[in-house]
Amino acid sequence: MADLLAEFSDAHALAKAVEALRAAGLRDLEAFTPFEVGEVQAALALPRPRIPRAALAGAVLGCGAAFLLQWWLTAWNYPLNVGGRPLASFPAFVPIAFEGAILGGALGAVIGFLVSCRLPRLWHPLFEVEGFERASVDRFFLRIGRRDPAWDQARVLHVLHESGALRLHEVER
Amino acid sequence: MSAPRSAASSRAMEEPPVLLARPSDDELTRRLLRPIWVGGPVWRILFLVTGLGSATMLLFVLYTVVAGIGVWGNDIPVGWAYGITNFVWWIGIGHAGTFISAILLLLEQPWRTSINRFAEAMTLFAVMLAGMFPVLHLGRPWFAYWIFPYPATMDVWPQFRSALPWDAAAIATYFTVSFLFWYVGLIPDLATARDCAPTPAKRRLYGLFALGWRGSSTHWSHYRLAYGLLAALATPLVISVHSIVSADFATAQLPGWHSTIFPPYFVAGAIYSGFAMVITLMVPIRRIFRLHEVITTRHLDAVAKMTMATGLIVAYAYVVEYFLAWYGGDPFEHYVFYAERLAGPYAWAVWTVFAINFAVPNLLWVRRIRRSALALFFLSILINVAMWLERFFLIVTSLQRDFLPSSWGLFRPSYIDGAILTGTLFTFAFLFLLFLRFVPFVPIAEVKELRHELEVAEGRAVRG
Amino acid sequence: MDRHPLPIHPEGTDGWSRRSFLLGVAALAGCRPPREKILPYARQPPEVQPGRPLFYATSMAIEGNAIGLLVESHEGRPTKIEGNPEHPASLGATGLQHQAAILDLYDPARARLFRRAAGPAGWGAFVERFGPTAQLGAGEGLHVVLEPTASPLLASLIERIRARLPAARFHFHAPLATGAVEEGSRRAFGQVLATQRRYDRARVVLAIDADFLASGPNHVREARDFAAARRVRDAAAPMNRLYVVESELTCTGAVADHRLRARPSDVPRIFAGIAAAILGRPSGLEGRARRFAEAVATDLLRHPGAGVVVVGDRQPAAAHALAHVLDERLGNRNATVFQTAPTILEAGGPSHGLASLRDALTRGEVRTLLLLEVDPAYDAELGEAIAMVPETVCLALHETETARACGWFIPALHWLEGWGDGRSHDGTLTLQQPLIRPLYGGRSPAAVLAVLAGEADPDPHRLLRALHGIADERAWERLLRTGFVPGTAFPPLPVAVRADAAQAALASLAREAAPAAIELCLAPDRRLRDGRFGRNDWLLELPDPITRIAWENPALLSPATARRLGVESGDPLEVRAGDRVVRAPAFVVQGTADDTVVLHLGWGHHHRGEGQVGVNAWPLRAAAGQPVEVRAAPGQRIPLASAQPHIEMHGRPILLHATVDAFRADPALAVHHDEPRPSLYPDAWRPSGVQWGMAIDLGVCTGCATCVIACQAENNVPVVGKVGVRKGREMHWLRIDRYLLGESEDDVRLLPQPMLCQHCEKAPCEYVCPVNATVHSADGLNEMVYNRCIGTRFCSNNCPYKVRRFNWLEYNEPIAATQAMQKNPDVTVRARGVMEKCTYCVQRIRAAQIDARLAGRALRDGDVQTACQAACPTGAIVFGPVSDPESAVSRLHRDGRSYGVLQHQLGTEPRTRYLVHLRNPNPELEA
Repeated sequence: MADLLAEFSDAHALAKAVEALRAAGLRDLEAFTPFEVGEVQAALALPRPRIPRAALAGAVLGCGAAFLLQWWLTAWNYPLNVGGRPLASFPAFVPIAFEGAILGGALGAVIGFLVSCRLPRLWHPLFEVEGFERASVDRFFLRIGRRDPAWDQARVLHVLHESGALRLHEVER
Repeated sequence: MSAPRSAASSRAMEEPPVLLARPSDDELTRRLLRPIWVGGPVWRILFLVTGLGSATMLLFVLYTVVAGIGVWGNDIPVGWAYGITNFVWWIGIGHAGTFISAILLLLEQPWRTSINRFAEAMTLFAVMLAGMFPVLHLGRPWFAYWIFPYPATMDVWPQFRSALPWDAAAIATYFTVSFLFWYVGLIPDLATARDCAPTPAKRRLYGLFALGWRGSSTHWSHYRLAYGLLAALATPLVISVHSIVSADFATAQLPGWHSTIFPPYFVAGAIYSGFAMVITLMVPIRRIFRLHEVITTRHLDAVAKMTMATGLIVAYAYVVEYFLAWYGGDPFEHYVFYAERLAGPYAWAVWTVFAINFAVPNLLWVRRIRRSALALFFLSILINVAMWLERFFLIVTSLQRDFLPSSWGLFRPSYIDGAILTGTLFTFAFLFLLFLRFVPFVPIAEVKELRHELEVAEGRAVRG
Repeated sequence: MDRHPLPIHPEGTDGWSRRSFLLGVAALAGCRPPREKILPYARQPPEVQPGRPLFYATSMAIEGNAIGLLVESHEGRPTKIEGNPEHPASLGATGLQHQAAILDLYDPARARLFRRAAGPAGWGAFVERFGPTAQLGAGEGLHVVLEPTASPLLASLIERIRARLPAARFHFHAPLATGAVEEGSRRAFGQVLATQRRYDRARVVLAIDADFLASGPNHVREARDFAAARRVRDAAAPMNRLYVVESELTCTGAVADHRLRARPSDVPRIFAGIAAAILGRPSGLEGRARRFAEAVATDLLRHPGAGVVVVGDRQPAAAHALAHVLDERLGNRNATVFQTAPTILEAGGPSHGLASLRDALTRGEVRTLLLLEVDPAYDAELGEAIAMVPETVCLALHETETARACGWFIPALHWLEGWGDGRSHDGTLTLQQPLIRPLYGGRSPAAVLAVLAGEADPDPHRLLRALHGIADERAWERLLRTGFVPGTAFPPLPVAVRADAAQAALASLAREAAPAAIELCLAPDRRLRDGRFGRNDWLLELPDPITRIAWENPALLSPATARRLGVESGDPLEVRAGDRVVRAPAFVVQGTADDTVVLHLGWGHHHRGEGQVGVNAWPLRAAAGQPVEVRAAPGQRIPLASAQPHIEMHGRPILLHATVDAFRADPALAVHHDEPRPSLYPDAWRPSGVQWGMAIDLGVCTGCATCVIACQAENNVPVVGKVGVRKGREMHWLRIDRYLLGESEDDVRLLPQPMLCQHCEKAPCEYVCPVNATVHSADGLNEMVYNRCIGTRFCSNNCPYKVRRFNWLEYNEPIAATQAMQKNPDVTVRARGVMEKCTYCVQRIRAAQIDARLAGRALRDGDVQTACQAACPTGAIVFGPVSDPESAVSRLHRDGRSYGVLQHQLGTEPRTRYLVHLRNPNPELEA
């Protein structure tokens, strides 16, 4: 059973629709916008993403790995008298450890982002929807899941009509 | 006219708007995407010229590698000269890009939006060129990878007390993070390009790089967070990179190198020169692609202010250096600062730098200069020159006049030194042209969002 | 021959084609022991082990003065020359030229072709023409020119030739010799005598235009003796005092306690004044010269029997005679100075010099002219005259200018390839045995003279044994092993100066040349001598010990004179004497006499790589006595290849110096220059086991730079050429810095400081290397790991002493097969792109350690001698284990004069420490 995809000409209308539908108890909603629209995001009340944890993990890992590696290589694996300095010259290990933290953190964040967005995914049924390419230009779309327990066709259509949707499409999920 | 409106407009008067007119999303998109669909004759000519320039540089690079670093002007005592100067100069230029995209993002400066994309591209290319020099200046460049810890047959590891492995780590990290930052920020626009592509081929190409972005609300929320995180990480990174670069000198014991104020001094200098380069690029682009609505006087003004602020820090650092050289009472340092730099064989460079870096930032107190594209362009060129010379005399004069007068020497550059430096400029322009031609260089989504927010704000103003 | 599993080149193949020659060398791979039996390399000698060098005793003569040497040989190829510790003229040290001579042996530019007129010819042809069967009549019109020699072998051959060809004439030509020394002796004693000076017994030394420390006929031994009397071991020890009067600043003058700069025409006058003061007469001098003369006179008189007065070759005979008078008057004869029979054959006789030959040539009496290892076409303008002679024979190592003028050309043997003998300055009979079979064929002067003598078998080896009448094999072997006959030094002769000598000498000195507006001072080059070493890359690239300029011989001026002529260093200068003109760049040297231009002889040869190097000043010498004119020439300033453009110390504590009185007042005067720096880092490394270190006594270093060449030879240090030096890329691991001291132009001291890797315990170079390519060894060496170096040059940047050298380009390619043979197999030949520097001769340390282990004993002090230490004539460099409190180096490190350069400023804790330079000024002249 295909989901319903409503097309709007401006973000405000989309936001209104979302509010109304959520008021009607619908939860399986997803908006598609050319840019991030604050009201819409707010109206959808999205869950807090987990990316920060990934970033933190990466940072800790990178930092620790870099520091321990330097210590081990310099002081244990191949100890050498270099300029009469102590084998474990910890202050000198800080910069690389720091860079390790940044690198790990950045990779963590990006990987976290791709995973939680399920990207890359080069094909998606939405791309089959005629006119959806304007979703990245100047049109605003709203997908309403038909499987939503609170689904009530008449009501949904009413709300969409009220909020001024231009067109409705069927889209496979 | 209701009071709030006039209030808004008065705000607009003291600070020019970040976005002139209110083109429709569609129109905006089309205009901003146009350059990547149709290249003009100007572009082609520039592309050819810079392409040839880059090829020539590659020949000189090849010659250096084949014949030996001896074809450069370096000698004993001046082991480092043009190579490291170019390295520090380019890496410094890179910094403004990250600064604009990251720090200003965190500070929620609306004016960054229109210029951050090409500022980031500038960073990437600058770092690429910078990264070439530490390798090229080696006696045996083909062994450059020995600076990374890998299990070698010799069983030897890098020596982490040296600032050079720090450099390697910093630059590698800097490039990776800058690239990720740039690419993540690019994804929505790549999607836009995909969706507006005139031909299936281009559609596929951009589709590939867009990774299947659909602009769903989940995408956006994750995207925003990831982008923010990268910004938060890039901010300390950009500070650390030039601090570490400065450690190449500060950890050595040469008079004029061995100084504790180098990290902040270098970072300021880097961002200073970086913003200068931003102006150098921004002004012509704005002109050529008629982007006066997106890149407005407000942007010029803001960038000029940043340049002024960092420039004043640099000037201050000069003063502090000279004070410490006198107050510290170290005869070697005193000689380098007061005899060699002010009156030595490269005094002309020192005085040029002082003249420019004390004068230019102070000129920028004047609003009319800050808001005149032409003036800024001219000044930015001066700054670029001055900042190259600064690194040059900083490196060379200390080496030329170190501890034993018996080993004092004089550095004379060879023509190959000059050729490679010039070549990097061509290569930079070449890469930048490619970028302009194939990548949306103004972040479309962000501009649209900005426009939306402004409308909402103005709407409220009207309604209120 | 079957002893050697080697292809032997047969007779007549002297002129090999380059290709076949190179193939030959390639095949031989350097193992070319000479054909005759030399020792110890005789019939599968047990001592020959691959990889272990052997040392052979031999000798090298310069202008007839032989010095005993030990030559290191690896599998039959000599690689390094050391002094023979037992030989009186060496005592283990050598001079600059002896160290460099090994390079001439392998010089790919050496002459190979035995030719007659245009075409090639063989030795056979020569023997046919001049040998026993040849009809030479009484030898009318036959003239032979050769170097002055003290060789008994040559003497006997000359005698036999005179017997066979009574009309033949011999000429002994040494371009630098003036005959004044001999004439002076004749005037003083009525006969020609050699003067032996014992500087170790002298408390006061007066050198009149004499660089006896760096270029005298016996300077290696004399420098050692001088240092013995100058070295101050403790506050109680005495120290000698050195007065110098000279026109050009020399190595001797630069370290003098008091130096009077005087233009050439004034030097004899001033010397006469000093002599007069000593003899109790009015000096007839004014101002500074007068104070100087009187102070010197009183000082010499105050030390009867403990003074030396030495006069340079360029001074007139009267000056030399006067010196003998003073020796006697001051009671020095047979105390610090004594006379012996001359070693040089026919010294002071009519056969010396070219005067008689010139006459014969102008009169066209010369029908056959043999020129043996002399180059009068270059140094005496005889080119055209020689070309006029119907038959000319030239024996030379290179295709010299003389060779080009001659009909016959015979490639000469390098002295390491031939048999011979000689006498050192004190008369000690010294042997010369070859270490390698002739690389290019060739013949020695002895062989040529043997042919003239009518020898059927002109084999120097046989002749030598026959001459010394050593039939007994064991005796001969013993002789070869020692390399000289101990106890053959000439005995002192009981002589007295003539009564009227003083009067005559003073009178004739008063008549000496009147001063001119500007005077010319032609001095032998400190490296190339008269030019015989003018093709030696090492010596050409060696910065002049005083001017620090390499690859050229600028015209030296005092600052005042330069101002007067309106020139600065590098400006082209035109020196005109009579109709001879020489153009050379000017160079300002503090301490040069005013109104004097100094030019060094021996330059202007054609170099295979560099074209003509320097300018040939000999023509000016030929125009001696004619009016001199010097002016700035058109053309712009040339950058000189200077290794040290800055000689001021800027008040930095680098070369510490004090008066001996200050030292006696405070025997620990250097200690406060040496306090360790407080450090945040814990002292992580407590050295254990044997630790190496070096001490350099600045008090006795004369800056002769012999150590530099020794280091270059030992450590395969490449040559970078004039352009390289100009760019500041010279590769010397050890250099001699010079720092200018003294209050005024008239009181200039240019003190030398050997500067090499200081092997810092807190080495600044090490902690900046990103790849661990320079690290510290357990025995305290700062090690350079060539194959790990990637060439960031950070280490050099951070080295406060700038002793690290970088291979900017590939300096060892291309290299001739012969040049490769010289390389020391125990030392890596460095490739392009890596850093290098002094290693304390680590190869010698390891070798000694292995020997000690094999012998099952501990290393002893003195087991290891670095190349620079071994070569140093004054013994200024001491190396050894600092871990052994009793070792010589430890004792010097404990000395109150010992300090580490910039240790107090940088806390590098150098293992190479210096002893403060001490000066012993005369209070009367200090006021």
